Amino acid sequence: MLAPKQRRLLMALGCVLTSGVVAGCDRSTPSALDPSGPKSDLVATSWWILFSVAAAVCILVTVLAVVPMLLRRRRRQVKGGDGKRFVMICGIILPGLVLMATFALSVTDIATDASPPRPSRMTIDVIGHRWWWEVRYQGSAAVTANEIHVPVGTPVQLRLQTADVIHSFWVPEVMPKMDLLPKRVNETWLSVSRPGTYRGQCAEYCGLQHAHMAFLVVAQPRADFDTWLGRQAQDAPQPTTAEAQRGLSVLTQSSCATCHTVRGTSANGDVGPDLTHVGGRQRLAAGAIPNDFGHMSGWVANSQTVKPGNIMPPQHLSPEDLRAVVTYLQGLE
Amino acid sequence: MTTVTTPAGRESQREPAGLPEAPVGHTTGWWAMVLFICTESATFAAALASYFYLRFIGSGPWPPVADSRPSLLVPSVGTAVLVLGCVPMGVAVRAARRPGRLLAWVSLVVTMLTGVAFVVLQIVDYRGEWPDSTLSKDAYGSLFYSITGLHGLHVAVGVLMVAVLVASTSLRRIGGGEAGPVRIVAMYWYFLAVLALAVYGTVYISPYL
Amino acid sequence: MPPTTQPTQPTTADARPRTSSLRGVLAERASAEAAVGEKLDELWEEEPGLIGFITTVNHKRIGRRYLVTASFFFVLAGVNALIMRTQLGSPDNKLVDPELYNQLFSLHGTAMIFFFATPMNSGFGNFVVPLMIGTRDMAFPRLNALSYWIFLFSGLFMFSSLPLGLAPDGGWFAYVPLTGDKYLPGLNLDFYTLGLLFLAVSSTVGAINLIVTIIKMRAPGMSLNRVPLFVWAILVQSFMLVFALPPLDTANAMLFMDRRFGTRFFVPSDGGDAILWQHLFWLFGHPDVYIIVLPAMGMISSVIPTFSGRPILAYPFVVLATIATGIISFGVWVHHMFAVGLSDVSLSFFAAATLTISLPAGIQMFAWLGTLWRGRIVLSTAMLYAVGFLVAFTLGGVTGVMFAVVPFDQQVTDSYFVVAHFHYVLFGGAVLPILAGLFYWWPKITGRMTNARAGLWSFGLVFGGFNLTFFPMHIAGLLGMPRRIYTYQPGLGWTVWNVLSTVGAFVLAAGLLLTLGLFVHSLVRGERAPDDPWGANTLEWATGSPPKDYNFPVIPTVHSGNPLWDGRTLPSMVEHRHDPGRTLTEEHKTLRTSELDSRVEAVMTMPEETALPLLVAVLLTSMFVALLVSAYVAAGIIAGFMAVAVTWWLWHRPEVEPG
Repeated sequence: MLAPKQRRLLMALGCVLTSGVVAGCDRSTPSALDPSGPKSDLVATSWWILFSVAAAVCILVTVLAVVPMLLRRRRRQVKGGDGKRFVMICGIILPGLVLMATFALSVTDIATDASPPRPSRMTIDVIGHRWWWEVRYQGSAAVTANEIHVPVGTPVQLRLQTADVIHSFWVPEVMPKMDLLPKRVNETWLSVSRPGTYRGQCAEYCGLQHAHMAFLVVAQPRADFDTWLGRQAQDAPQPTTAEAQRGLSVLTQSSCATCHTVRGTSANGDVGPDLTHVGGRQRLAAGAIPNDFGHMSGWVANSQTVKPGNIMPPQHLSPEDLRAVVTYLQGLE
Repeated sequence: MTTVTTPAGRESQREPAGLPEAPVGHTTGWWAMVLFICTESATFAAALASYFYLRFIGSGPWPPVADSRPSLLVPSVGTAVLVLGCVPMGVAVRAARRPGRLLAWVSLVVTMLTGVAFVVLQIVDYRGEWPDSTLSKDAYGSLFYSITGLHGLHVAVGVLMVAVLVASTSLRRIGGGEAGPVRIVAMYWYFLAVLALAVYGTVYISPYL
Repeated sequence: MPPTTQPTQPTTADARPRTSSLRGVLAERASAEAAVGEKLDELWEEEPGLIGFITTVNHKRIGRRYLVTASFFFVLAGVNALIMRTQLGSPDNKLVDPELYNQLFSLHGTAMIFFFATPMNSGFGNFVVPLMIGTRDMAFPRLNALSYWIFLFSGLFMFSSLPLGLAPDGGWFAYVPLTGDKYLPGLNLDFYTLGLLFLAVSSTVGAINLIVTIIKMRAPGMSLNRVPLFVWAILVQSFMLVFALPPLDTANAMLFMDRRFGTRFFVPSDGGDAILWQHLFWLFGHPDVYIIVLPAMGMISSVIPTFSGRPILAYPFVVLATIATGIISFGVWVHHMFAVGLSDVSLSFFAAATLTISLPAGIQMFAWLGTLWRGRIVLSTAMLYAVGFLVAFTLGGVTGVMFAVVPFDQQVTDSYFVVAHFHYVLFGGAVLPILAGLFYWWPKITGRMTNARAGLWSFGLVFGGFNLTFFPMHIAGLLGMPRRIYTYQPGLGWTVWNVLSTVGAFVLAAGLLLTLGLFVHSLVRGERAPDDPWGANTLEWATGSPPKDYNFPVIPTVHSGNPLWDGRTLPSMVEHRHDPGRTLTEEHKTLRTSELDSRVEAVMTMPEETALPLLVAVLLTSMFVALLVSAYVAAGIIAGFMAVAVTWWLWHRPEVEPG
């Protein structure tokens, strides 16, 4: 494979070509050509090889198709012959060679992708719902939603399932997609080579709010990850202010508790995402809105304005109760 | 047929003007039935493939625990009767080519009766299976009833076709040399028999294997 | 008696004879018409007015109707797309709500594929094939009328869902479990399953009709090695339909039963499987794209030789390529499922098969390119569109090859990259050739010429707009934009590419509107067309523009694969103009010939016009409506009436030949 310096150069060139002067290679673009993991790396390299061949073929055919039009007044006489040899060579033999090379590339890539470079020692269960992602860390009590943390440079095993319809797990910068199927577990692996936050989105049409089913993959240095996971495994932190205390009682006594779980409280619903550490997430509503007081209030009061058709009904809380609940939830870091 | 050499040196055959004395070759109707059989075969192939796919994709027993293996007596008799019905059908085709209509008429009626018997026996079989196995209990039941039902529907249509042939023969519109429509319906009838064997093998026998 | 024009060159079919007439009526045809035209007019003429409209069984009228109706559905589906593109023109746009958007994109795909592309090809097939093979109608004229009426009613059935707010909203390939009654209750998906089952009747009988026509009704002497490539394409496509529709029908029937009768075919908890749907669907779905593209390629194989003045290069290879494409297309369907999680062995096998299928396409591509290089080019609007196709289809084809590299496929499938790919091969590979075919056969179908300068604008706007719309989608997909989303957030780097696509869509729409206007103008004020304005080489150009109801006064005897250039086929019409075995002036008749060598076997009487096809179509429509509203008993009763009507139909067949 290419040396890092060459690869970066190629990537920069690719950025310029594909993103254009206007868009620029924005760090928040989930670009498959800006890979941050071995799987996406492999695909990006294969892409550039394929692109070069494809561009050459397109240019060749365009020239061959257009030049006779331009030169048409020069030819007075039709040339006869049945052209079998020409078609045989250009239409069968040469393309045949290109296609065989492509097949070799395909088979090699399939084999490389099949298993991680080192055995993974962590397994994460990802369960797709309409329209959010449930995330469970095996061997830990940690349960979260829409945000997957992984240690940098470590292969992680993923077990993908769905609770309802088919979804597809796609983080372009990290790995090609894999579907989440009913009554089946799809096993795959990923590895992220650079720390950072990478955007993923559901890539199999799953109904009304398919467009708002994103998630984040956050790659952290090992120590930071261990800290994070440890905290995620704990029960919800106790409320520290009166307002937050009030929020907790509103939550456990209202309809929130029928759908959501906050470990360490009596809220034990399993319809919606686990909220035990919701305060620490970067975004809410499967990536639709930022996680801050204002947005969370709007979401809790009437999530239908953000994601019309989603399963969470508007919550009829008094302004004080609403403020209390959101204060409580924001404190669940 | 005269052979002519063109100025370019190629031989070509000049078709004689005029027409053959008697029509030869397969008719358009014959080809239409062949193609119809092709498309229906593909339909049953898809249905039977789905049967085996659903059987082997799951890990449980087949039939599933809630169902029992299908009973074999009634469907075996029914399938045998339908397959044997190809014999009078073949007789009818030959008879229709010859002068006289009685043999053709009788053979067609016998054929029709084998078809009716098959459909009746299928209904008897269903009554035996229900309600242990139903259309909506599980995929096994859905497959059982829809595959056999689809075939039964095809047989019913076949019976109607033969009934029309019987009426046609009575009215002297076919038979006595005019055998085209009988040949075409016969092809469909043989197809139904082959299908019956395939359905029988898949739905009734394979759960025992 | 007017003298027959003899070409002054040797009788070879290597090139268009210099003296072929491009003006007025072909001398041979004039001579033949003079002998028997009047008698045949009487026999073949149909009733005028509304009665004729309802009862026609004439393949040309039916073909024209297919073209008009399919174009109408194209416009409807295109408007859907324009709304979608407007919605996506800016991030977080609120122009349409997600429910409407999901209906729009589902109906757009379903309608374009099922109610535009294939029927448009049927329209050309219907109109052109009997003319190209030198016969007087399709094998089953009443069945032909039936297949049109069913197409019309099934299209109306499907589209009626949109104003009712009940259009299918599961995507054009309707994956379960989403499309089961648990997650998408309501009539939307019942419109989908029933609408497609309904249409399938039309497509199946239409395909059977075309196959039998092509096998049994070619003019004497048109052996298989002399059959025009467009006819080969239609033949292969029709066989594909016969074998590909059944898995789709099975799947749709199963889904309908799951939704209505509680069967469990696709319910995993009760022994069913969601992936079964995908297998059945794509077993149809992949051949379907070649069903769409092969006739389009056949049209290109008609246009390019005509405007290059020489026969196509390597004809036998092109025929084999067409057949090979048809067969191999049944073996690649899993490449639509590479992200499902199948075994590596499966992935490798289907990657190999997918690569193999691009070989026949390459053969055809170089046959066309080689023909251009060895020919003497005449530039016409049809030729412009043909060249546009060569470029666009290549681009779509090479991205298709990329998908055979499975991990790459897994990155870009279900993203805008694949949307770009399939629009390049479907718009570039079917719509551009359809436009080429329209410009090419327009004089034959309507008797009018189109304006060349307007044609240039048409091509420029359409080709430019098409590229501007779909090329940026490759980039959006690589930058992570999934498909089938009704909106997207700003700041992801997707906005600029979406804006470009939206602008392109409007340019494209303008181009198509201009094209429509151009055709309307031609109908009203266009120059009258001669028999053979292009100096083409196939038999349809030896008839009037538009052809008489009986097509050929004298059934020609074909001597080569380029019948109008070989100097022997046309004169055969004059030679046999008094031969009753070729003029067939007794009753409504045409010839039946042998499958391989096209030797005369018999004379067939063709049916006269009748309202039965319309009646059966109306009954079938009522049956499907009854099923839609769960009136199952009523549906059964209507089926009974249909059985009676069909029996009546087959009972009153024209004089049957003994056999």
